[in-house]
Amino acid sequence: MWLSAAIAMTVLPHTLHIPFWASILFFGLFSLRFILSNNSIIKYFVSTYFFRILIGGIIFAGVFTTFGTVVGRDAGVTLLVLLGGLKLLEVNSERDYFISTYIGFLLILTNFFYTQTLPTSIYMAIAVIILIAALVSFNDRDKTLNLQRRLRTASILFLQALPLMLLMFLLFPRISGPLWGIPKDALSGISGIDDEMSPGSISELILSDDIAFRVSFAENIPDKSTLYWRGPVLWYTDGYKWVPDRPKDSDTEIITRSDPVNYTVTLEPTDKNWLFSLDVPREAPNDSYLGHDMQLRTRKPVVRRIRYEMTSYPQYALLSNNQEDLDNALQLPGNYHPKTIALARSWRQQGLDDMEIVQKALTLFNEESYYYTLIPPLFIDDSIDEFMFESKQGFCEHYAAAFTVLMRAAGIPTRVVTGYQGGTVNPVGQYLIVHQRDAHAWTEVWLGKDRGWVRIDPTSAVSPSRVTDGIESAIPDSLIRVPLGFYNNSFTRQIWERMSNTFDAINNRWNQWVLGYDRNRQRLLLSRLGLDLNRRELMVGMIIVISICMIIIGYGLFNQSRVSTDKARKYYNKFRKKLSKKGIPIFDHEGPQALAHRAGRIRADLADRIDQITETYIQIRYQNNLLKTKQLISQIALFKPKNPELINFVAKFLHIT
Amino acid sequence: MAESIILEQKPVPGLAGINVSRKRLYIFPTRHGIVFGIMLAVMMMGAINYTNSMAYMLTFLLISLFLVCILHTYRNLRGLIVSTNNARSVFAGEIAEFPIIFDNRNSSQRSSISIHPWPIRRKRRKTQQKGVEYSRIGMEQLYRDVLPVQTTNRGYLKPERLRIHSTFPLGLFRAWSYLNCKSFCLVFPKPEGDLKLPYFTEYTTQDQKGEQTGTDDFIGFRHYRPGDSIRNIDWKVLAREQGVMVKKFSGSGSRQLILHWDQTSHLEDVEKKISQLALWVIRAEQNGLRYGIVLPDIKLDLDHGEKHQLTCLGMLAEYGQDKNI
Repeated sequence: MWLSAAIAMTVLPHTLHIPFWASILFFGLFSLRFILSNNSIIKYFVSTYFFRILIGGIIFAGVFTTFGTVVGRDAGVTLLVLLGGLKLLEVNSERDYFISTYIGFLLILTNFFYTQTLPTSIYMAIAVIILIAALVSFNDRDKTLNLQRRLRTASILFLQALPLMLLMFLLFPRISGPLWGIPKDALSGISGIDDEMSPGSISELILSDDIAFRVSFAENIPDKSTLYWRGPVLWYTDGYKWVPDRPKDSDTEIITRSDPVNYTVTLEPTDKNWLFSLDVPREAPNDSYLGHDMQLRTRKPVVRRIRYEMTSYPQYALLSNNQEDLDNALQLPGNYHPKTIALARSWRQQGLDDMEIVQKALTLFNEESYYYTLIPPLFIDDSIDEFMFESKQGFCEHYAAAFTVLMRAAGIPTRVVTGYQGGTVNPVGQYLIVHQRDAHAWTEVWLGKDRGWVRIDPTSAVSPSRVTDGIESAIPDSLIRVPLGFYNNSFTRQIWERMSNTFDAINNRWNQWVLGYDRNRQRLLLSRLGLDLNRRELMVGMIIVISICMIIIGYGLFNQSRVSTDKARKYYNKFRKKLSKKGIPIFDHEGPQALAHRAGRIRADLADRIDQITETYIQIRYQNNLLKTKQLISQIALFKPKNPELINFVAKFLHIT
Repeated sequence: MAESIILEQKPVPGLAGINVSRKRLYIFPTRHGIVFGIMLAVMMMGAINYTNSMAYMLTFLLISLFLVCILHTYRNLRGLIVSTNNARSVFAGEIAEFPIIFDNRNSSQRSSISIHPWPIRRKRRKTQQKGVEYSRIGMEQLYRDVLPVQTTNRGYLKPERLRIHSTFPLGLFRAWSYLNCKSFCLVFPKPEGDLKLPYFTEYTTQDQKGEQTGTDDFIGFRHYRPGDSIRNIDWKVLAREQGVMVKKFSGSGSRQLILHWDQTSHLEDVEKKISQLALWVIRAEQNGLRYGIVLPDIKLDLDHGEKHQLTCLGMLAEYGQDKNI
């Protein structure tokens, strides 16, 4: 029963990502377990070897047809869920029970490969307690403990394990990087810049708190507004989607006009074939190459966290005269965006030159009522035209795309560059963290042979703070999502905002200190404590600290006071307290009989009842008659004598009259 | 002879005034505990490989749980006082019940503790354990129970060594301790055989008079006293609800029987001889005879009554056995 509840609890969050049929099958098997107690024929059938083979076969076949494999994260988890369901059906022996519990623990573990938020973790902590309670109730062979007691035992175990867990978590030497290859689908859930851009593809990332990469600079961190992290460069569009060119060797002449900036990037796994670099690099790091559009490409996808050292030049000119590239940078899909194209052509017809047209477009974005928003309205037909002339609300990809279309329509070669802009300086470690939410899209226009490709960021025309202060400042307050019902009242709204801010702060701490706890943070923490330990010293230290902690827990455990379990004494003490309240002094040296005798003399009216209670207590205490405990409890509960003052008063009253 | 042990704790002074010896308590993972450990290793590798903080967290939590479980399982037995005593005699093939007392008055609650014979020789463990019930104790204070042990042969039965163990609360660890049990049970020979009771002789001895209950002439009634033969009870009087009365006979004569070893000479096997004698003893007692036994090196004088019967059976049980206990 406990076990079923715990397993169901651990499977529930998995239903979000395992295939639908698997969820159905699991809960089918699960409910079968409960139906079975009534129907004996089916029960017999289920208990047969044949049934297990059959269901096992179905499970494997199902997983294989869905995923094409039975290994890897998603397939493995689905398999685990279903085997857990099957195992629940045949929990007969001790072994089955333990294995089911272990499957439960593994299900919790695998769930953390999908989500590690604070609420999930709390939920899982409860699931762990219930699993422990399942083990406790199984090992309590005669079922002498009641529900509350089992939960209590489980909670005690859990709470005592917590400090040990924290110590291990803080002190266990961390190894950076995987031990072996991470299965491919393990990265399927990660978000990041793609090499396709469509409306909404970047704003999606804004909600992600994941880290894209970290950068430590050799010298000072450059000004935020120059931090353009170049990713995929997009050339072709079908009116909706933007895609890159095929990789070509670079024939671009790079003129550098400033001092180099040296930095090291630690890139989180992306499962993609490119790296990010500050605009613009001159040379590609190992295992990668610089394409014709200054994009750093790798030969193999980045499936693990990698580090590479780079040198970039913030002031530069990209001189390229490749006619094929310039033609490609003018490509527009036929019969799309008629209004936008007409607008651009009208500018050209006014006799404006390239630079003036660029200015014109930026002014348009800046002065007309264009908004920078995370949640633009849905575009139905022609996303560019609708954005330009109707909603005028969009995110950076809308501005970059619309701007590129405008420029191309006016005959200016333009390409879209995606990547990240800005980053958060970590004051503790003096490095820059670039999150997924820093994802950005901008453009490069070709302004003639002399100036080459020049970066134009149309978003900065709409929302300059996006570039100078980062994404957080650019999102208008009104667009912070406030649930319905909180809008109207300023007070409730304030509460909501405070709540969401607090929650965000907690979440941020959680992300930073728990989920982001790695080797660097460990080292930082230890150095704050004035410790500089290598891995082996750390391991030894951890073992010592944990041993001390174990001794403390053990000491507490072995010296539990015995009074707590002695019901009779507990209630007898209550009785003594009651007596003392009624004006009968209590002496510790006095035995029950002596007390009863003395109390009987002081309060003759209560003597009988005091004697009864004392007699019962003596029987329990000295004649080992435990069955009388209940009687004692009720006797003491009913012992509610009136106050002596009242009696005195009544006596006086009677005397007077 | 009562004996008590306390598990892995200094005896508390003034505890019931018995000699309490201290026993070492052992602890080791169970099979499930080992599997749990393997699972932890797998989880650990997963956590490291995916550098997943919460996976680390869970793994460390379970490792901690594993460690804390050691303490809890250990505590479940630590300080428990176990006393055993000699069991009442039974016939071979019956179940001997050793009284066993768990004294937990000085500590908090313990759960699911089992105790059973655990012979030192591995081979005997299985045979001995058969028929022994697992006793489970959820206890708060003083708990009395009996430890049932299947008997096979006559003679002194000693459980030799008892193992007290517990896997509570998680079943990942087993804590155990051994009691070198000095308590014994004198197992009577199984009463069986084909021979009829030998002919008894009727003696007339002048000594036996007065209150001595003989077998000759009926002289009156007296109240039943423990030890009186059932055959002498006047059932009619009992039926009239006038109490349990015993018929008294004049002591001028009684039926006497000496059960002699040689009377079983046709039986080859010593055990069979003893079984036959045991059967005769029971028959003789049932028939209200005065009987005695003569064994090759020991003899027992004529007498009757329950106590005499037990003495006879005890002598038969002990015959040829090492008495040094």
